[in-house]
Amino acid sequence: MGDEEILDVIVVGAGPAGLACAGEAAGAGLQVIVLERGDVAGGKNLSGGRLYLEPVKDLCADLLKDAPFERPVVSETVCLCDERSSLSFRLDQPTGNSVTVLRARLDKHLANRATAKGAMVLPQQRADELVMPAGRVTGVKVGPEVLKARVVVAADGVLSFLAQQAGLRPARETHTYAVGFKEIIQLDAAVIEDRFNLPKGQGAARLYMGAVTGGLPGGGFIYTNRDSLSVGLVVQLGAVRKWRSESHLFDLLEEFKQRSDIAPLLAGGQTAEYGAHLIPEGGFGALPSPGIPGLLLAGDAAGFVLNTGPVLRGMDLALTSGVLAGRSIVAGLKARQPETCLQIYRQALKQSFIMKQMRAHKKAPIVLSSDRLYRRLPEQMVNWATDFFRVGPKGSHPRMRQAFKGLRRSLGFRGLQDLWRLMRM
Amino acid sequence: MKVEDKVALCAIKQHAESHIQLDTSLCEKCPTKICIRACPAHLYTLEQNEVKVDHSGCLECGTCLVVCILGAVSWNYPQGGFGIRYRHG
Repeated sequence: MGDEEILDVIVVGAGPAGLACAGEAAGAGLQVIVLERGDVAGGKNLSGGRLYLEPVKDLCADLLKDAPFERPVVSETVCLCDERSSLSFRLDQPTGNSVTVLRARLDKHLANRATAKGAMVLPQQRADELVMPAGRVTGVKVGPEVLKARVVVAADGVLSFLAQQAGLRPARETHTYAVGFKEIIQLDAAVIEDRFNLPKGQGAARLYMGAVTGGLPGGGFIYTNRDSLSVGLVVQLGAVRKWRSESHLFDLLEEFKQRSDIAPLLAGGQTAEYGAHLIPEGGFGALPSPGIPGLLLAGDAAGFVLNTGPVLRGMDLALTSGVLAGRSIVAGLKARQPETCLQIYRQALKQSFIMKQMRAHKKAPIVLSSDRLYRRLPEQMVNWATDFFRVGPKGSHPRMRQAFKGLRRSLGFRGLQDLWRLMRM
Repeated sequence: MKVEDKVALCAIKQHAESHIQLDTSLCEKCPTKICIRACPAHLYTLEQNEVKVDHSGCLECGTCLVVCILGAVSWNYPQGGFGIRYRHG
């Protein structure tokens, strides 16, 4: 590729956002290359992870056809934990609306689809910086080489150095990030189905809130894959920065795995991989502008993650923003007005569920950063349940009325306020 | 299981040059040295009162970059084709 050649689109980052965008643009006849810094598409990518399918089943029908999902989630459990016990709410359904995924497999599939539509995915290419004379992005630099394009898409993930260079994320606000770290623990499919009480091929998601994060805002998770479990923790970095503890973060994961209500689920499993990744959890209030002239942001790079506690979504927003970016570029370039791409994209985002949902849940980051939700509330709920099920040495056990009164008393005004805020979130 | 053993399971093609630089003159003054406890891969350690970082087991998450109070961490992705390769993700 000489300096003279100007491509239609350069996409930076072969994840769901970048590959969805590349497929969309290439499918419409544009010349598209995807720069991926890893050895292969997905090589640098890590999720919990699960993908909610309903929002993307129409928009990405073609892209996700025959995609290598792990298991459809038919069993949802939220567990409130104190140091030793947990109280669970579990929903079992005949069908699920999300699937567990492993990104190495999923992203490879997405890359194959984008390639089949004519996009060129180039691995081992780190886009070092944007070329932006006079405030307009005209290409990227890869090492000494300059690649030029009518539009550049930064789908370079949560840390997006390109968005930062463009001035869209000048300061990295610690409280707008969380870190997720997890192990892949291999187990036979039949053992997984047995332990999680699942029909063959179906999956479970378990979320843990409370003592598992040592009081830090966040939670633990177990997702069932085909023949492994994803077991990990997510914690908000704003709280980690102020964390008073002798422990390391990684100690929390080991303690999580050793809990008496978790260890039997993992017993005999072999850890095959360990990984960590940041999550942009700033929500609506922390969203950057989705681009500058010549540059569009998509996926994590644009801050498109929704955390509302029991539901944490990123990949469906990434895929959707990628498709919308691709379509906006097609519309702008076909009309020979590349400068309109950003405006078209902004409008498309506004009309999509992404901006609507992010706005609707804009209070979530603040409510979910309250320490008490993770320290006091789960413990009080566990205590209440413990009392409720206890028959004492004098042969007594509480009446329903007393138990609920006891719960109200132990929650206190603050606890009730927390619950109220959660319900209004 | 020790975290060092977990990191050892990962496929990492190490570049000789570190992609993490520390301004240790700032680290000296840091009251929390939170990087040491926050890094999920335990790359940060205190040796003779000086914060050290070993880039070779880096999971490339960026926690240290975001969590550092003083802006002492300069961090870029390893060069194309280097660093971690998640086989599961």
